[in-house]
Amino acid sequence: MKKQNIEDIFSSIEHFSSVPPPELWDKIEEQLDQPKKKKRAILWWSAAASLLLGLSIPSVLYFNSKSDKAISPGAIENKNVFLNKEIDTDQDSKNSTIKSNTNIQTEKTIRVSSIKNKSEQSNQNAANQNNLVVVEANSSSKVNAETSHEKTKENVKSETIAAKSTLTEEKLPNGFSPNQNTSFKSNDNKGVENANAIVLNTSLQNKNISKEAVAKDKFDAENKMAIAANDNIQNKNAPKEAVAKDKLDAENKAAIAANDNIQNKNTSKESVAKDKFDAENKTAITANDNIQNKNISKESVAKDKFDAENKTAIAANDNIQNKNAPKEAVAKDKFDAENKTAIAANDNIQNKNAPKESVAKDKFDAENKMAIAANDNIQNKNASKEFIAKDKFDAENKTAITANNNIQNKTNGSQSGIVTENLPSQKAIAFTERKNTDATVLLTKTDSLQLAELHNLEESLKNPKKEKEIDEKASLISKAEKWSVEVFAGIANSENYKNDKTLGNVNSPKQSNAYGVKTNYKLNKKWAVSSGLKINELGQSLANVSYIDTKSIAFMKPEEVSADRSPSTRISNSTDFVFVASATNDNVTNNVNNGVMNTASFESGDVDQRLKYLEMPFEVSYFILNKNKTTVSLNTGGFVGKLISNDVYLNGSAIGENQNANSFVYGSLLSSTLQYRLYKKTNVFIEPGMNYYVNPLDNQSFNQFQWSFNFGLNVSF
Amino acid sequence: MHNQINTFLKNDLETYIKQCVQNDRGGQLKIYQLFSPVLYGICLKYMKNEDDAKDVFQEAFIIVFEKIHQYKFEGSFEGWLKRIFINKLIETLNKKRKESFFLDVFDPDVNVTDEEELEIFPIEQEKLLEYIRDLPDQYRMVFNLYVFEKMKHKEIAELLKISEGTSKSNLNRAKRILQKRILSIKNFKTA
Repeated sequence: MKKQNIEDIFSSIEHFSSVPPPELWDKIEEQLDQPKKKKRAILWWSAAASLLLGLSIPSVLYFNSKSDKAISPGAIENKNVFLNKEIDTDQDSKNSTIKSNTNIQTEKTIRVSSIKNKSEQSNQNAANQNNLVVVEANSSSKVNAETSHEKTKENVKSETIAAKSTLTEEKLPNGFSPNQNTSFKSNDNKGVENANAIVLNTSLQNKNISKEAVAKDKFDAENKMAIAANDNIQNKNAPKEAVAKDKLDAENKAAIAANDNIQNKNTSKESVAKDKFDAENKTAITANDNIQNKNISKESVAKDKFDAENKTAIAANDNIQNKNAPKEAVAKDKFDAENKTAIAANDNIQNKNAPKESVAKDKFDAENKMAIAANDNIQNKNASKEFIAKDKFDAENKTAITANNNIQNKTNGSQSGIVTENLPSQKAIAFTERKNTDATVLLTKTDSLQLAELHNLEESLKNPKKEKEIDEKASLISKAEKWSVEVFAGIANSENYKNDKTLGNVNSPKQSNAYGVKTNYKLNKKWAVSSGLKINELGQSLANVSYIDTKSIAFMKPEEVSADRSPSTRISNSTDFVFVASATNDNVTNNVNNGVMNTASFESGDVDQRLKYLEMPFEVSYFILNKNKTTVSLNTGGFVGKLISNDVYLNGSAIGENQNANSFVYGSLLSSTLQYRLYKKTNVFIEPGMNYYVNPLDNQSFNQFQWSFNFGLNVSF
Repeated sequence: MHNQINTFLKNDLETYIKQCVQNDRGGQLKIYQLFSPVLYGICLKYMKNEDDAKDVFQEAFIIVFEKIHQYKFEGSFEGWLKRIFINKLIETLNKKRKESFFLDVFDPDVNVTDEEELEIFPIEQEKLLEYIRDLPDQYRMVFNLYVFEKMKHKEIAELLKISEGTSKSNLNRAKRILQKRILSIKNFKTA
């Protein structure tokens, strides 16, 4: 007795098929008629947009508040004078005019830009009268700004310093406007040398009020930025309007979409109805697959009789295996078709021991009908005299659809298990359904052998399909969650491998923290792309930096210290502390020895320089390991960063900002991610990596490499 | 002739698919009629009972019609449909598995290879189907993917989110159960 293993036994049902109950289509149709649910992707996108909005709003607020801080009285009291790049530009170009943009709301603008440093009244007067304000500032002057005129005078440190700020007002009915409004003129008469100790002293004259100077104020460049920042005030309403408009549009669209659905529904119903009742252009399709004819003696293998008048009948009997078919033709197809099409596709017909009668006779009396008969995997065995399948469609003006699948006729002399339905004239669609009880016929031993043989034959016929199946399997696996969102935090260590020095001291590594969110999109099994937002800090430390505290030296001339210093040695815009490069120490010492400088003022301390960025990375990931719950990937790409914080610390105290810091920074990154699936779609990961920053500071060496170690959570969907 | 017919039917199929993309009910019905028997057969093989099979069949067909615009007319359309159905079946069974029990444990008999060969005797398809459906969910899933979809254990493990060893073990156990069932029938018949 031949033996076989379990897999061989069960391979007989590999291509098992069964006609689903008719009510299932009704249910499907019902569900298809229901309005579609909003896709999850839209929800995620809106969540991502909200997150982005949530991050951007605090950022804008932060920048705005920073502008306010720059002109706050506290800042003036601390005597920390901030020079912004625009002032530097002014110094180089001698003259510059900063024009505020359109849509400046006069009152608010003036308040923001000057109210902090002036008496309230003078500002309000200036504001209320909507006058053109021209401020001329001789930026070569060094003045410690105070809120009153008298104090300002008292705090003048040098005779060489002159400060003139004039607020000239002319009556203009419309106040500030793009072409007429505020101009700040900064005339630098002295040059760059004293730039680290410059204070602009501005006196405002309001001729229309009292024709006297109202106040002397300090306008640093950030005031101007504040003015510019107010341009956004009016624009705030614009997005709301846009949102509202979008909402309206969305509603309209939804309504349109709903109408579309209705139209589609109607259209589809019409099309179904059309298919059902359209008398012309009907098709009769008979698809009999996998039927094999063996030992056919007298009768044809398939007789498909199409009595369809005025129709065309195409009979295709493919892969028919005929054995011992002595007399008759393999296929006899009678086409009484007039002007209509009937297609009978009999593929792989297997008939065994069908001596006299045809294996299948499908008679289509379908005039003006569409008849589709799909007979798959029909296996006829020992069907002696009777028809195996009789499908008679008498349905005039209707569609008759017969789906016969897996019909097996064995050893039954008379009838097979195929249900023959005579369609009544009113029934539009008829499913010829195989009933389990009819279809279930006990197999004999010889039959099971024959069955196995048949399956082998089928297998050999289906060999070309294997490649496709392999592709299908591959894509089955890749059908995983494509999107994921991750939050992460970590530590970063900024380093410099070129032994760069600042002020003669080697740049030391600086450790900082980083955190952010990232979205990944899996392109395929191996590749993914990602982007997001990250807050990161680049920094460096300088140990034992020599400096002079200018506050402690009453009448020290800056040039005494800075004469031998190139501008590049300036690391901070602080005027209170003058850093001395180690190369210039000798000169300083000479000055000390010559009695020019006071020895007591020469100190040393540790300097920390920090640049904080809001970065947007763009990464490409390659998965080098994807096993069970663990994935390992290599990531590379670039990033762009916006400077959000710029600080210099001396012995732990903030003293100002780094000089010449670039507002935007670019760089490349390389990292590796080890991820482990914790629960369902939640993963934990660690991510060691390195970043390279291109030119964070101009004219100054800075740590450009950064080692990072991040960890976080990743949720896929 | 065969090629002509194939081309004709292929063109028809393309027309139906395009109709489905347009949400045309006629095209959807035709696709349903052409492929529902094969797909329903798959559902019956993977699910424990007919009601579950009907549910999955229904849900998967909805997915088919919703995502049919993603079919790029590359490769077999039937294969594409099967892929959607098998994914849906696995998703459903994974959900059920998490609700009930978790079999992702290492079985000591993972390397058991003493599979007994059985004498051939006729068994009805319905009986074979019944035996498969009586298997525990995960055994049945592994058995189906291995025997009918011809997947490797590595692929099954990735798909079902289990270890390769578990996949082998589950297949082994499934085979043993089926072997016992078949032997019991044989003994009953010979007795």
